[in-house]
Amino acid sequence: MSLTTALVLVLIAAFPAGAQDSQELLDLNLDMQEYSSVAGQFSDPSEKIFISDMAIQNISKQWSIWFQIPQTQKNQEINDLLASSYVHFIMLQYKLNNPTWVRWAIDQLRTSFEGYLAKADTVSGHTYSEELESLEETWLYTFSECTFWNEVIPLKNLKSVSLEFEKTDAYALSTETNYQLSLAAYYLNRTLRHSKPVNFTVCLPAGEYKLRDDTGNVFEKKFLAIAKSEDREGRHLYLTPPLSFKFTPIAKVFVQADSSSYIDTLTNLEFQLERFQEGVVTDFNKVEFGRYVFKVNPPYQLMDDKKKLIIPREEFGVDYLKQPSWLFDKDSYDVITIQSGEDYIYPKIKATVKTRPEAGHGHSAVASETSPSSVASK
Amino acid sequence: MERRKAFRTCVLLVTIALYAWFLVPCDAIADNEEVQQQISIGRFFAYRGYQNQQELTTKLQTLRSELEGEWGMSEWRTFWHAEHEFLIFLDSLKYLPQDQIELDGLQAKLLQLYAHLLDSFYELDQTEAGSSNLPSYLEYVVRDAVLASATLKGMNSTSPMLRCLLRRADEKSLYNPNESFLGSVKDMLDLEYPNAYGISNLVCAVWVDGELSKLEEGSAEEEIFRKACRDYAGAAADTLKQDYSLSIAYYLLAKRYSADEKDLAWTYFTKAIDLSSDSSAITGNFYRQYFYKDRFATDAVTFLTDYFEYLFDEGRYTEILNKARLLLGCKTGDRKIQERIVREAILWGEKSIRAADDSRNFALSKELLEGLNHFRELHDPNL
Repeated sequence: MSLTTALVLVLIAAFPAGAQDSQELLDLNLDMQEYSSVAGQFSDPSEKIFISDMAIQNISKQWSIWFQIPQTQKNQEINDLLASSYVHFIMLQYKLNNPTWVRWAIDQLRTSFEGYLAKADTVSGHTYSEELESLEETWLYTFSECTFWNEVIPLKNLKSVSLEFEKTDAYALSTETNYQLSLAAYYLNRTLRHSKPVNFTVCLPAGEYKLRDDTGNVFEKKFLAIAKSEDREGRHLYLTPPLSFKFTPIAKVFVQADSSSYIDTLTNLEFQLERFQEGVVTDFNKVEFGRYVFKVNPPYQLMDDKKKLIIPREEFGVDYLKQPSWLFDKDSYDVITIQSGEDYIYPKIKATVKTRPEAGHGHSAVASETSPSSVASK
Repeated sequence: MERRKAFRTCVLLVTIALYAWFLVPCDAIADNEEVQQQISIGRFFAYRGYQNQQELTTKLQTLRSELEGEWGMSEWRTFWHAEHEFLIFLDSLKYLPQDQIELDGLQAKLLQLYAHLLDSFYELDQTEAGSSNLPSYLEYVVRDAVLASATLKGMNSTSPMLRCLLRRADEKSLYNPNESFLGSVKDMLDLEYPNAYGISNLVCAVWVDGELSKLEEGSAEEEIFRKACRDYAGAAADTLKQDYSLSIAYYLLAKRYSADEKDLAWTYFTKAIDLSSDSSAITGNFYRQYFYKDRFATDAVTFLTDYFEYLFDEGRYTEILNKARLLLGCKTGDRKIQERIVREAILWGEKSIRAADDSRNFALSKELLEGLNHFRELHDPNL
């Protein structure tokens, strides 16, 4: 038993209130130290995952005990005991090469036990804050921090979600990379089974990925994960069930001289559909439910500039719109409800040219006589 | 008067409430539900779980329907349910090749059991814990974890879990460190931590060996137990690091190969004696009583008669005296053991010389005689 632990034990004994909780916290703290001391000695991925799970179970239990202690009985010693467990947990997950749980624990520590971070580690002499910053700079930021927004999965009560990360920029992955991808998927699936909507961060080795869903419950995603040291913004991915629709970009072109209008279909080069915080859509036949920003290139112009929330009507409809969102303010969006699997035509585009510009020839005229209704029915 | 009556009623109600409040958690553990089947530890390990899986499955279904059907089911029935699920899951994995085994589900069940058990340590005070069912439930969880760690490769990291459980058990004096199964796990954890695979295999081998000694010679189960003991001890010998724990594994291998693989048994006996320690130098409580140098040497000498006869029948006469010399070199410190080795060497040496003479191999006979004289001098220095 370390000197610090012994001191904490003595101090806890001096506070009879919640003595059993204190004893349990102390025992769990000792358990965490035990796990951490041997975590680096296992090489098999299953063994590492098991020890990580034991530590997660331990820290969750400690937090739950601490949370239930009345505020008046939460003295400094009890707070420090839990904070010290978080530090051991971070070191354990670092030894297991498990960046996602390190990220999670550092955030928890900074949110709830900021005071503890100013204390000095008796072994190194540095403050815990300095040690954690060093850990972030030298190791954690070599991974990409991808934020996943999860609202629809719990709303649709999709319990059997099982997602996998497939690294698409490499053919043969090392055992360690495979292990890290398993850990990331394990964390992701675990979090998705929570009953409440949350956004959470998963750390991945930098690279190109496909998020695959074997159960067919969640929309597959391709994304580029850039190391945090290079890209402080990280990736943002909104997880949704695979409800897609076709998107047909249509421009409504106004002719200045006679104010009569006609409809024209834009190419992908002229019209851009950008999924909010994720990236540009390239496959217009399979567009998923969610938040979008529309962009058009000159000479075309959008008649509205608000962000769009596109919702398949029969799946979410009115009920979804009535509930407040945990992740974003629905009022700040134009809500478009559509029938999933059907074409969607975006009508609010105008242009001040009489004729359609030809590719590579600036704004040369190719006027169309097509009516809006005939295009919409295509 | 009425106010006094109301006060009395009030006090009575408060007393009943307090009494109930104190009793409920105790009852949850102290109720003597013997849901678990009675089976000795050695037999459990020999069969790698329960022999009758059907009975276990039926029990699980009963527990499940009770859990679903009743309100306020005891915490321990939930525990048994998780424990039965774990054992059935573990049994299903033993038929799969190692590379196809997915451990996620099994590990989740073990964590569930672990969490149940950790919680229960704080439901009772020091005096109640020892007399409750907690010690036996603790033993079941440790037993199950040991079996899983011994039989599946990816379960090596159960060692910190076992150590944390036994630390709590030590604090509450929940087991006898000299005699019990938990004592055997604790001692080996102290020696070989964190190699749960090696530790568990050795513990299993030790308990199967103990059970094997109780079986009737020639019984139908004897071969099953012997094979299990060999397998566990062999797996332990492959990964253990400390001389003392290795010596136990080799000793068990020697014992359990002595009937049919005599050369192999001899090799293991010599390795065991070579690596072992005197009982006074062994730190653990459990193993020092059964596994020490003189005991290994005594058993090796008992084996010697059989082995020398085997060598004699094979015509390997020179090996008899060489092996006797090797065993003497182990310096067991027990004079009686040394004398017995010498006597056996003289007996079989003389027989060998006669056999060599009968076959008119006089060169061999002369060589054997020179070797034999050394033992005769040891037997009677006045010669």
